[in-house]
Amino acid sequence: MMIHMQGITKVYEMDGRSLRAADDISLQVEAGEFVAIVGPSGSGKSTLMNLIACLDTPTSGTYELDGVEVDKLNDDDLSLARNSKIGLVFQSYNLLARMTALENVELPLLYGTHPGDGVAAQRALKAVGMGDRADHWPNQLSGGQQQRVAIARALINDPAIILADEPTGALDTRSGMEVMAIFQKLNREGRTVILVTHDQAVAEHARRVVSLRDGRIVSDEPVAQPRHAEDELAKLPAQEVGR
Amino acid sequence: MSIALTLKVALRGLLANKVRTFLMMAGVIIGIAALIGIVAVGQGAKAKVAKSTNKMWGTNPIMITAGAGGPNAGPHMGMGVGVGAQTLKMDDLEAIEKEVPNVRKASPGLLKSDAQVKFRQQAKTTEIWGITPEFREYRSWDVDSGEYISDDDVRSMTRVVLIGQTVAKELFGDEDPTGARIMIDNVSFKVKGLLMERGTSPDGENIDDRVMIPITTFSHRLYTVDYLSNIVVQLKDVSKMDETAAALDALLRDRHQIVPPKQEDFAVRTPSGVVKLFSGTSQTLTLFLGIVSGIALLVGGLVIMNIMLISISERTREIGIRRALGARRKDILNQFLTEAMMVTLTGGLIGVLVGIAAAKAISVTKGMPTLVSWQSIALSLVFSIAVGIVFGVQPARRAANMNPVEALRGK
Repeated sequence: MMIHMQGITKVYEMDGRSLRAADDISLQVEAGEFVAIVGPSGSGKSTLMNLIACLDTPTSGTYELDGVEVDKLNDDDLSLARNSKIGLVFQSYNLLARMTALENVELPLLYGTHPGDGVAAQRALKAVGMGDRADHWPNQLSGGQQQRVAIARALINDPAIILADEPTGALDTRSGMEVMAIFQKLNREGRTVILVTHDQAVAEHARRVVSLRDGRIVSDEPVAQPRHAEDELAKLPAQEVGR
Repeated sequence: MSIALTLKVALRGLLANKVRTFLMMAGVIIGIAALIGIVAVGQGAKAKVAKSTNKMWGTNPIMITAGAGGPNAGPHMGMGVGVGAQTLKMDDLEAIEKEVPNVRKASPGLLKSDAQVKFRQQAKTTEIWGITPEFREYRSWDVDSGEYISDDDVRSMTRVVLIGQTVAKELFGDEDPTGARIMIDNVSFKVKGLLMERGTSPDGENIDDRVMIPITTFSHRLYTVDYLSNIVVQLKDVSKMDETAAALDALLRDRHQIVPPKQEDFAVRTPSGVVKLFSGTSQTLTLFLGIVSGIALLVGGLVIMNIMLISISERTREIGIRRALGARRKDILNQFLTEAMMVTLTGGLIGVLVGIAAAKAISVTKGMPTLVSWQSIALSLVFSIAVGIVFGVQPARRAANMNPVEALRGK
C-alpha cells in the first residue's frame, strides 16, 4: 500500500472562523495505480494534495506513506519524506530560473543522501525526451519542455509516488497531451501516479477518479475506458505541430 | 548537504544579482579598509616611536633626571631634561648602585644647553654633555671617525670632545674635524671623534646638534658643578624594569625627604613610559578611526540585513520550491547564512586590499610610517565573517521558517 489515509481532517483558522478544508478523508492507493483527484475550486483538492505531498500536516487522522507514518514526523523528517518518497510536478513547472535543465533535475539530490554526478539526471531527462536539452536554461524552453524537465526532476529520487498538480493547466492542448502521455507511460512502467485536476477530460487519463466536494470524498470510481494520450496526439490536426 | 555544495548554491544566488551583492559588500569594504588603515597607522607610529626611543636611549636603561616633574612631565625625553636643576648628587648615584639590587651600573650625566663652540671664525651655540664611556653602549651611539672618550679621559679630565654631525657641518663644512682644536666657552678642546648621525627625536629635537666631553672635565675643568643632570641606570634583569623604577623612586624620595605636599625634585623614566607618552597622540587617531570603522561595519551590517530581507521576500518561491523538493529548514538557513558570510568575507578581503593600499598611500603622501600586520588582517577577516553571521542570521531564519505551502504560492 502506497497511501493509507484514515479520517484525515484539516481545519484552517481564518479570522476567528474555522474552515474544514479536508473533512474525514479516508483514501487508499495501491502501488502501480493511476489516480486522479478531481473537484471544483474550493473542494479541498489543494489541501489534500499538500497533505499527500507532506507539505502540510493534518489536524487529525492518520496518514501512512509507503510504510511511514507521516502524521507523526517532525519537520526535518517530513522534508526527507518529500525528498525521497514524493515526485512533485506543478502547474507552473517551478524550475529555478538560474539553473540549467540538468541542474534543476539534480536539485532534489542536493537535499538527499548522495549528491548528483549528472549521470542519473541525464538519464531522467532522456526518459522524458529532453536528453538533448540538458544545458538549456528554463527560459530557453517551451512550457511543455519545461514541464518535462520538471517531470524528470520528480523522477530523479525514484519516488514512491509521482504527484502532479494540474500539470497540463498552463499548457496548450498538444503539449498537455504529450505530458499526459509521459504520465501514462510512467504508470505502465509500474509507477504510482496521482493527478490533481479540475478538468474532467484530463482526469479520464487515469484509471481511477476520486471526486471531492467541500472537503469530502463524494465518489471514488474506476475509469471504465481511460483515455489514451498517445492516440489522442495522433488524432490532433497537423498544423498544431511546429508551434 | 555538503559544504562545497552549500557554497556553490550560495554563490549562484549572489551572482544572480551582482549590483545588489556589491551594495551589500560596500559597507564591509569601507569598514574593514578603515580598520586595516587604523591599525597600520597606529602600529607604524608605535614602531617609529619605539625605534627612535631606542635611538635616544639605547636599549633598556632607566633614566633619572634632576628637577621637578613626575614621569609624565612633558614630552621632552632627551637628556635636555634636568638642565639647570641641581638636585641630583653624586652620592645619590652611589646609593643607587649600593642599595637597589637589580642595578647593574649607574652612569652619571651632565649637560648644559647653551655652550658656545668655536672653530677659527665659525661659532655656534649648542648643547654640551658630560659623559662616561658607558654612554656609547647604552645609547648605542658610536663615533663615525676618530675615537670615543675613554676611561683614561675621565680619570685625567682630558680636554677632548666628541662632536655631533650638525656641529661638525656648521663649524667644519665638509672637512674632517678629528684632531682639530675647538674652543668651548673659551677653553680649548681637541676633537677626538665625530659622532654618527642620529637624526631627529620623536619630539623634533635635533640629536646631532651637540658635543660631548668627559664628565670630569665638565664638572671640574670647564665648569665647576657638584651636581648631576641625570643618572642612567642599567639593569641586570630588564624584565623587572617597572619594579626597579619603583624602587629607585622610593630610594630617592627617601634620600631627598620628599613627603607630600612637597613635589618630587627628580623624575624616574622608563622607555615604556616614554613610548606610552608618544603613542598618546596616535591613540586619539586610532580611537577616532576605530569608531569610523565600527560605524561603517554596523551600517554595512544593517544594509546587508535589509537587502537580504528584500531578497528573501523576492525569492519566496525559490525557497518554497527547495522546501517542496526536500530542503530542510537547516538547509535554507545555511544557504542564506552562507550567502551573507560570503558577501561579508569577500567584502572583508577587498577591504583588506583597499586598506593596505590606503596605508601605502598614507605613508607615501603624508610621510607617516604604516605597518600592516597579519594579526590585523586576520582580525579583519574574523570581523567580516562575524558581521555576516550577526546580520545574516535573522533574515536567514525568516527564510528557513517560511511555511512551504505559502512559500510555493509565492506569497
